[in-house]
Amino acid sequence: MAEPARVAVVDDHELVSLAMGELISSHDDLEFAGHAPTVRELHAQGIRADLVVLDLNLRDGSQPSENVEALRAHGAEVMVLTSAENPYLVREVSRTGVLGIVRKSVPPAEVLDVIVRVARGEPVPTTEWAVALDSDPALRTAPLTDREREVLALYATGLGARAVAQRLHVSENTVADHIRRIRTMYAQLARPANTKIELYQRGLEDGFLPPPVS
Amino acid sequence: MTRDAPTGSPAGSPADARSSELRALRLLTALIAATTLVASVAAGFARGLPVASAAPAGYRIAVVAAVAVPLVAGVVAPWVTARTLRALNTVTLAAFAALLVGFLLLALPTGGAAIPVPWFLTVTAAPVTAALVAWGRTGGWVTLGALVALVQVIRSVSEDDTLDTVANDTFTFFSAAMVLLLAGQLVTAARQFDRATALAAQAATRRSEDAARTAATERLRLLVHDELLSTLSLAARVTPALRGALARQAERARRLIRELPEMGAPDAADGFAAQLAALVAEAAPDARLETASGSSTPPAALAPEVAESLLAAARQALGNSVAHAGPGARRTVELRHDGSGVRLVVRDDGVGFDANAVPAHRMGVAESVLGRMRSTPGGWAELETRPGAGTTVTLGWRAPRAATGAAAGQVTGTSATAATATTASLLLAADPGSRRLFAVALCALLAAQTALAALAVLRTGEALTAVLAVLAVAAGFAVLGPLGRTALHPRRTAIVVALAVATAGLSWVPVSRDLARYGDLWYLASLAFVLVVLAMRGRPGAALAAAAGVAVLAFAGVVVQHNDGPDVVAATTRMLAIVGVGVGFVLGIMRLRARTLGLRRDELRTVRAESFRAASARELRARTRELERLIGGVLERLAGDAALDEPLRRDCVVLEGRLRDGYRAGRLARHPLIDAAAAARGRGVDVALFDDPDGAELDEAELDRIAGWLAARLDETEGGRFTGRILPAGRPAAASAADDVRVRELPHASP
Repeated sequence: MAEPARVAVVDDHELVSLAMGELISSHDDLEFAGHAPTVRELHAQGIRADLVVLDLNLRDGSQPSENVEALRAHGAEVMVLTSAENPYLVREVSRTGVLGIVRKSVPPAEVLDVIVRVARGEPVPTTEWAVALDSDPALRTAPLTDREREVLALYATGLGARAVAQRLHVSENTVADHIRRIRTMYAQLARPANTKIELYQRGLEDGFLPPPVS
Repeated sequence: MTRDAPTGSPAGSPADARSSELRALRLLTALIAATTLVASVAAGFARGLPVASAAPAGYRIAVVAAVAVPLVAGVVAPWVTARTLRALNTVTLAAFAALLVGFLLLALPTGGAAIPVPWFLTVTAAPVTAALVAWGRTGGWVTLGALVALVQVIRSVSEDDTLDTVANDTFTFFSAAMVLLLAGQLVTAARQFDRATALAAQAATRRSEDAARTAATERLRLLVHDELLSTLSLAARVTPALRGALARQAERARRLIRELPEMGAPDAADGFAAQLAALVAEAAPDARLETASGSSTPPAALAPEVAESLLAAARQALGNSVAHAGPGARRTVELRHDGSGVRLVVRDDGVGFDANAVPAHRMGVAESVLGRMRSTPGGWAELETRPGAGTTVTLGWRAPRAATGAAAGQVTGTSATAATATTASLLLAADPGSRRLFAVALCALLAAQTALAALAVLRTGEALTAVLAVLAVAAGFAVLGPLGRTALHPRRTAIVVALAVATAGLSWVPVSRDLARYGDLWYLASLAFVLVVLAMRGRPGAALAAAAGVAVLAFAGVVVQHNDGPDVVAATTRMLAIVGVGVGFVLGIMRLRARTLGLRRDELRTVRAESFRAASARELRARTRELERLIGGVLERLAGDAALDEPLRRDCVVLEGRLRDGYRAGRLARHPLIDAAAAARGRGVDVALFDDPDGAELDEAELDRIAGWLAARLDETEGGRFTGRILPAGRPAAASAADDVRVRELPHASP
């Protein structure tokens, strides 16, 4: 049996880190390597991990894409946790080598499932990821085939890999191939990184409405 | 005339002590007082003090009142309101009228020999200006007409209508008409600028309120995102072992909500330097901050969006430096500003990099720092780096040149006007009514001077100078042309000046005439009007110089011909007075504009900063209240030691979804979908609603249709996942709804 994958958590909410730690420890194939509030802190503490579960929106002023790059430069794969509020940050981080983007509020079993799969180095296309890409106006000009667009659109409706494969009458492996190419193409879309505020403001300009909290 | 409202109409908001219109009315009232003083003193010297005459006491009181009332009005003018100014000038006119009635009662029966003519009948400009201030332009013109008619009646009764008096009355009339036209213009100019600046202020307020709302919402979004969504989604699932950590986080969230309004809005006037210092302390505490100022204008006055761009770019540049400069790198942030701009240098002595060798996708950050500044109006940015030689990012903002009003990127309404408003004739030219009136006045002037020339020819039998003078004045007006929006071309200016001086040279022509008589020099007054129009065309300096030349030449001509009658002095003095008054008004109008703009620039800056602050605070308070109402209770229970039972967890799930929908569900966050989603989450369905905008518009009816359809699909869902989504434009369907097993699509509405 292979060594369990070492998984660390970077989140500036202690509660999230601790809960993720519990979740990770509960699986035989995973080992909780520790947590830190920032990527710099993680590296400063010398925590080594095969996979880092990273909060999309840290409050240290860092950029999600920079955080992913820094973690990958240290040899870790990255999975991103989001609160699912902002498609712009999801798009930004999707251009990096991040393997999965998961909403914090999905049932713990699903979060764990994604962690296990990305720990094996497998890209996991989640609804969160697919919706952000599928609705990105920049994707219209990307050199994607009709079938690839179809795959992305189906994922974006909320279907899982198996349901997508069934709908298209192909194997799940074929769907995975499509996903790999979509990821590559999207990463190559030339668009400069942005500050969080700028991303947010672009959201406002695009009609992404401020939150009606009542 | 297109507008005839009283000069202090509320539309010009003269109630505002800083309004230009109010200042114009004060200036005019002060001028009436000055004219009154000069004219009555001169009249007193010329004719003996009327008060000391044998007139009845009542009349003497009227004489004193006709001087005292306008003087008092002029003295108190700087401190009173437009309404009071109108009232004071009405009293002035009443005093004039009383004196006039008294004069008519006393003088007419005796043929006018015993009582001197009231001074304001020969200095008509004073009463008509008072009428203009009191009753508006129509009042001014009616008063002028009445006075002209009255003077003619008095002349005919006293059989005093020689060429001299005709010439005198003609130019008195035209001088008053000129003053009326220009004074009316001054008030109109002031009122238009008040209006333009009020509009610009409104626009500035709106813009900065928008910016403030964005900033406030962004703060709240970060809070909601970072604290509340995490707290609530974790609360729904944490194990009892983490109950303590959950309580701590809930308490932190509560505190943040409580402190949000007190933290105050992101304050535009808070001092840019202070904001920068806070930013540096947060993003790169090891960096050294240096501030140097080249002027007394603090960058605190930067427009909020400019300040925001600079700070965001600086934050990013610092973040880059911290991430990439390498260990031990020293960082400095340098802020320099002068009256017209700001320069921010973020420098480190770290490893630097070869900008050309960096792959395009890694240049994103630098590009966005530079691009962000460059896309800000007046903004610029530079990146300087070499491997081993550190990195310097320079961010700058400079007030756009020329557009003075836009100095802090704000005045949009008036700056365009300011750039073109170089001539006093601009407003006359812009108003068809005024243009017509001006043309009529000009024709009347030409007709009158032709008549005067004819009278002069009849008396002296000498036609040459009369014909030449009429032709020269007509040519002068022709060269000046219609009122334009730009200053008169220098060549035309030179021609007009040459024509005026040459006409004055007519007094050198050795012909037989009676130069001692005022009427023979009638054309000097005509030349004065030519020169006033020259000033109105944006050449006040040339007009004054030409007037001086005309005076000297005419006077010298009379002297050369050994004829030194006192009326030549009167004629040249009158000419100089007309030009002087005309140029004075022109300069007044120009100066008023410049001052208005200068003043408004500062005011707008304040307006913006204040509205930004107020709107942010309002927005934050309102949203905080909503948040507290929505989740205050649940947070309190989480922060306390309430048992994490199933109902509480369900509440957390429902609230987390509701807050998340506030962002991501976009236009789907409406009834009945909101309630359906809450109910479904309560049943344990993991509901995700998406409306990522792609720029396509949907009308309310269509959004209601989609929300209604999704709510119905959601109601059918018993458990598992549910994803509802508005599809991007160009897709075969309008919306989709997926549960664990199938996808359903809502077809587009049939047209």
